[in-house]
Amino acid sequence: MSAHSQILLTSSEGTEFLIDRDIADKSMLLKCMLEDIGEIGQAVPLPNVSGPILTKVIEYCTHHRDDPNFLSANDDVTADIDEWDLEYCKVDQGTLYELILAANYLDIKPLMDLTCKTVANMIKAKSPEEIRKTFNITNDFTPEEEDQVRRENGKDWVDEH
Amino acid sequence: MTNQRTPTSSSASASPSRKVKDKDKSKNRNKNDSRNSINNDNDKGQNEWQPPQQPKSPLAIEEVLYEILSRLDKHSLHSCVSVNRVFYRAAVRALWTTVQWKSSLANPSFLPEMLRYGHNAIELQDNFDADLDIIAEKCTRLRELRLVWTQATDPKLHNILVASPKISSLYLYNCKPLTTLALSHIQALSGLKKLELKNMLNVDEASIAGILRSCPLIEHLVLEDVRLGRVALDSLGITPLSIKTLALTRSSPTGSFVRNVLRNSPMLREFSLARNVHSALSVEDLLPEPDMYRYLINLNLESCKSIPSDALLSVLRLCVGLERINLCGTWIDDAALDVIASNSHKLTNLNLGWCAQITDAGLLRMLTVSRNLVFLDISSHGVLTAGIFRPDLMWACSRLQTLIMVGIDMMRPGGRAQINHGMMFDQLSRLSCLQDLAIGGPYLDLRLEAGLDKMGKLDNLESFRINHLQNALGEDEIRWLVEVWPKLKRLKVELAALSEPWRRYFRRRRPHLVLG
Repeated sequence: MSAHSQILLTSSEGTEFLIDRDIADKSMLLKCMLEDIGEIGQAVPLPNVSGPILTKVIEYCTHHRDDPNFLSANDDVTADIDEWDLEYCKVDQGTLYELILAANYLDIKPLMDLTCKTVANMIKAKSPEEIRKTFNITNDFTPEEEDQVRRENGKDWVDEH
Repeated sequence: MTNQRTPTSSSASASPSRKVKDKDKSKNRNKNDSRNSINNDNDKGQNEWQPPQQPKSPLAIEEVLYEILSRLDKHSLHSCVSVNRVFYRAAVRALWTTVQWKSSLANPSFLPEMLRYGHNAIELQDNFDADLDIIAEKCTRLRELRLVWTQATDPKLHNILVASPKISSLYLYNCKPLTTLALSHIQALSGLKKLELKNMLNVDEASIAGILRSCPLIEHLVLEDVRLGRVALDSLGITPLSIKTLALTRSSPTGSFVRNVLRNSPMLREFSLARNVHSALSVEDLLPEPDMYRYLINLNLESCKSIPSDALLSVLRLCVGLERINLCGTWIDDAALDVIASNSHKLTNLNLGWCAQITDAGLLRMLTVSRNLVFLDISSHGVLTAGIFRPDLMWACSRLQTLIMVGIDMMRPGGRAQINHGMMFDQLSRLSCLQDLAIGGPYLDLRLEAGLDKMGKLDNLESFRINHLQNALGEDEIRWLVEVWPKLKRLKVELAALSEPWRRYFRRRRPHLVLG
């Protein structure tokens, strides 16, 4: 590999981030964009990602830069999360949400996987009311809809083992 | 089965946001496409972007919420369905990707629903051939397929596998018509990670070796009630396998089969040869390489009566991180118990039931050292005596939750039954975490005067099973049993020990107790 070419990213507030090409390639969005457009001297604007979040995302991609398994779509939902990743996700709920949205937007599947698994673990084994409380969600069902859901849910339409 | 209809969507997106978060607006955001990322809600020109408003929650965007929920188990998904509308839609979609399709469902709307929501796991039970054809025709993205008691034939299975080559989990239970031809079709699933074959009678060397060679990613392999008696697996040679879980239950594997698989599976974490009573395995078979079982956490050799104790000892010496051990009905001796005790810092589950060659001394060594035991079974036919309760040696397993202890000889040592029972009650009453206790045997006699009431200290006891007593329970003892252990949910006593009138008394006093 020759010396890495570098890419300039701009966050929503206008902060600039200079990163190596191979780190940028972890994002499928950036990878495809750069392949299509070729090297651009100008910065790539990321209006949907704030500076702090972009820093976190770059941190993740840099840590996993040499990871051979990174790009292989890992369908194993039960695989354990490794230590570094666990620590990485110990952030407040707001940051976690923004990370999910950033990973979704930038199309970084392993980061999406990790953050979604983290939130899924927060939902796991909770009752609907507990879920609403944890995430501050309003119940927007009308009484009729609520009734219908309750009836459907009670039926054994999906078997559980 | 009702129609799975989402709540009317017309209201969902149009209603003005009376909530704190901009749920509806955020739904318009598409992922991935950078050109659409700039939301044109406010009619501004395309080049003038708005700094993002307050953080939008991924839990309000159905696509993203689906990503999160698709990693949940079915129970949690059922809870999610009732949270709010977007959760309902995302959770229903996630639930539909795992579908159990039973032949009793004659619902024509079933198939369109399945196709609409996508499906990647199917289980069929007791099914007719027609369903198999539909699956082969319609399902191309299967990840998991489970066929239980179906009449699947080789060609039908072949068609399904060809249509869905990305299957990573395949479970074939009791599908009698399948032959070795089916196994050769499985070889095409190069991404296969989990394979379970139960009750397949037609296997041969070529098919098993072929699967192992063609599916190198297999991590989980279960061959239960599969006739392996003629499979030597020598043709496997050196083929690095990724197997982490291996179970050959009741399949009578030969020594060379075991040798060849173990030699190629250095990553093994769980290994079971349960119920292979006649598989005579030697040290060479179980230890084909000098450095094995490094990652093993779960070892099950239940009823492996044809494995000599020196082979067992050699294997146990190498397993330094075992968490669960089942040696029920084997020939292990005190030397092996000593080794297990020395390596027991992670041991939580231990089954030493019906091991005829262990003695009190060996067991005591284990009991005084293993601090993390949660489950212990030491049932025997009088092989162990009340000597294991000797007061000068405290059991270290204070976290024990389940203890199965049937058949301890309470007459030995010394023939002093009452004192021996007293020692037992003393020792047991210290197990404050105990939830499930099973005792009994021809030597057991429960009497208050021997110290039975000390067992009242077991505040967490939920299940008490008395398996055969020497004498029927006395009246005082029964009255004591009725009142003790507030958390008790289940009591199992033989009819001979607790007559019907007393049972009725029990049921009146403790109506929520399950009395068996």
